[in-house]
Amino acid sequence: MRVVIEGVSKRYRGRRGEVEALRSVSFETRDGEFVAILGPSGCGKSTLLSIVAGLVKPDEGRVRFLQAAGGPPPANGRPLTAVVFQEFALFPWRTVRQNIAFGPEVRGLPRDQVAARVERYLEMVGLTPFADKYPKELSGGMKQRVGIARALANDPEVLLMDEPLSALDAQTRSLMQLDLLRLWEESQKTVLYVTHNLQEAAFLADRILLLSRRPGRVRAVVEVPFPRPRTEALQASPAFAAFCQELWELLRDEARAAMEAGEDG
Amino acid sequence: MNLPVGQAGETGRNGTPAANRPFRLESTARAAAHEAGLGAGPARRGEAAGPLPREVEVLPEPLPALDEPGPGYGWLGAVVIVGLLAFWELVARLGWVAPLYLPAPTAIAQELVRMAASGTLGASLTASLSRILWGLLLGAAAGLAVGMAVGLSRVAEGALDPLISLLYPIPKIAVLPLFVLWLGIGEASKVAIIATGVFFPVAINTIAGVRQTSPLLIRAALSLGANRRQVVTKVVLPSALPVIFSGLRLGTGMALLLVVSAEMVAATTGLGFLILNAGDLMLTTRLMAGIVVLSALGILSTWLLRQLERWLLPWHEP
Repeated sequence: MRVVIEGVSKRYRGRRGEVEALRSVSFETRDGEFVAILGPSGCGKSTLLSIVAGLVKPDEGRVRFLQAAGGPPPANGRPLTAVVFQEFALFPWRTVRQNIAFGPEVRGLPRDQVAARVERYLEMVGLTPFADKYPKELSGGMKQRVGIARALANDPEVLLMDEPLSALDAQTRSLMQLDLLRLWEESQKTVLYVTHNLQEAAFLADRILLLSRRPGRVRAVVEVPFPRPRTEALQASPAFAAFCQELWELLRDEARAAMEAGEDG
Repeated sequence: MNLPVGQAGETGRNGTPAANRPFRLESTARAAAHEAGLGAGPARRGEAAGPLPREVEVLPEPLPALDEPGPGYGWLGAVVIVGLLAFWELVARLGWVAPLYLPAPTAIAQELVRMAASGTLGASLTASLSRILWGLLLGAAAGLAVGMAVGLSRVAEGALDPLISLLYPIPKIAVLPLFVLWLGIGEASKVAIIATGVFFPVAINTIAGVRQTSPLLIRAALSLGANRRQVVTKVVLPSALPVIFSGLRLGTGMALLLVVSAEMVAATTGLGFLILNAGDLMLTTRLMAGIVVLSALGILSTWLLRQLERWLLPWHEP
């Protein structure tokens, strides 16, 4: 499945007048590609993701999903997208198992199929022993693994992740990056991954969509040159450091300008 | 050349050539020697010509402890209650106050047993409880329905919010004569007044609970494929439930208050009638027994609600 973003613009009306979040952003993913969306704070990265998810309507432009003509037709009632949120957004009144079951459940899958799917994704993210715990009983890393399993249990064509690891501590984040790579390599889904962490983008993505400061425009599209499967050793290599430095040079002026303009979020 | 920090520090301090060992190690060795009372032997690599700089231990200012750990004093409460009862018993037994004004606790207990045996207590309790339960049921159901509607729909909010704000402050008991006029002196008017009293806290809390549903969770549910109805039943309602529950708790208190008041104004059965009637007949012991039953009812209902909440909302911290 390819995601095609065509000339998307978005303005918000706030108390202090209108804020232009995105200005004619166009971008096309490849099939099964991992794309990181990188940009300074307040550049509209998350807005772009919400637009792709259908949670926010763009003022101009549109998002299309293109399926290879020869490929299997999307199953009926199967969702195009599922979102993993930065703040986890787990339902506190549901156990881990019930949280993962939410998507299949509201889509009306038969009970036994829901249960089978939940067990599969519980195992995939290594949370089977915690299946009957409530979110408040879990650590941040575990919560986000539930969030990822919940999105995957919907079997979406496209996985949308909105800074999924930025609420975690640095060590947990490093471990979760490896888990994410493994999960993505298993599923081969198209991923749009919003982050402000350029090492993370460089480590995970096939391509990086660099947005400018507000209003977000496409600043550059960078091909990540590292072969897969990627391991931790990559992050220690000089080539990786050089690549991150290049990225930073593309991003730095935008980030500084955004910081000095007091833009946030 | 890049010297290790320790050596530079050593040189700066003592003005002697840099030792071969890092500063930190040297320092601990010196401190150890100092603690052992050895002082600085002149033989120690010729560096310590003078006396060691003396250290003075500086104690942090003690901060006031806000939350002292230690045994609780819950048992004191029991002591106070038992002590008070004993004193009361003593006062009554010694005849300091006439039993008409202050019957002894034991006399009240005996009266309770007598009432239970004769069936008076059972009849009163049944009458009051059925009014409370019906009032609670109807009031909570209406409160929940109206609260959900106002919380979810702009139309219902615009139409009903001002009305609720207008009616809420009216003391419910003041409306009882009107209810008696409309619904007659029977059960209906009493159930109606209790239901009205329960309705407002449940409705108002339901509105508040619905409004405070996290938009993030709604977005999550939508992105997972929930439709509008599912968002309401699977996100908004469970998320509002703790707040609705505290409304129900307020409503239950209100129901107890109103059942007694209503039975005092217009009834021939129930605990309120029993108490008022005993008062009229100067049966102080019976009056007090009625009050004891009411307070037991209050404690019981609080406990029951807590159990219900634990069972319904296991994920919620009380």
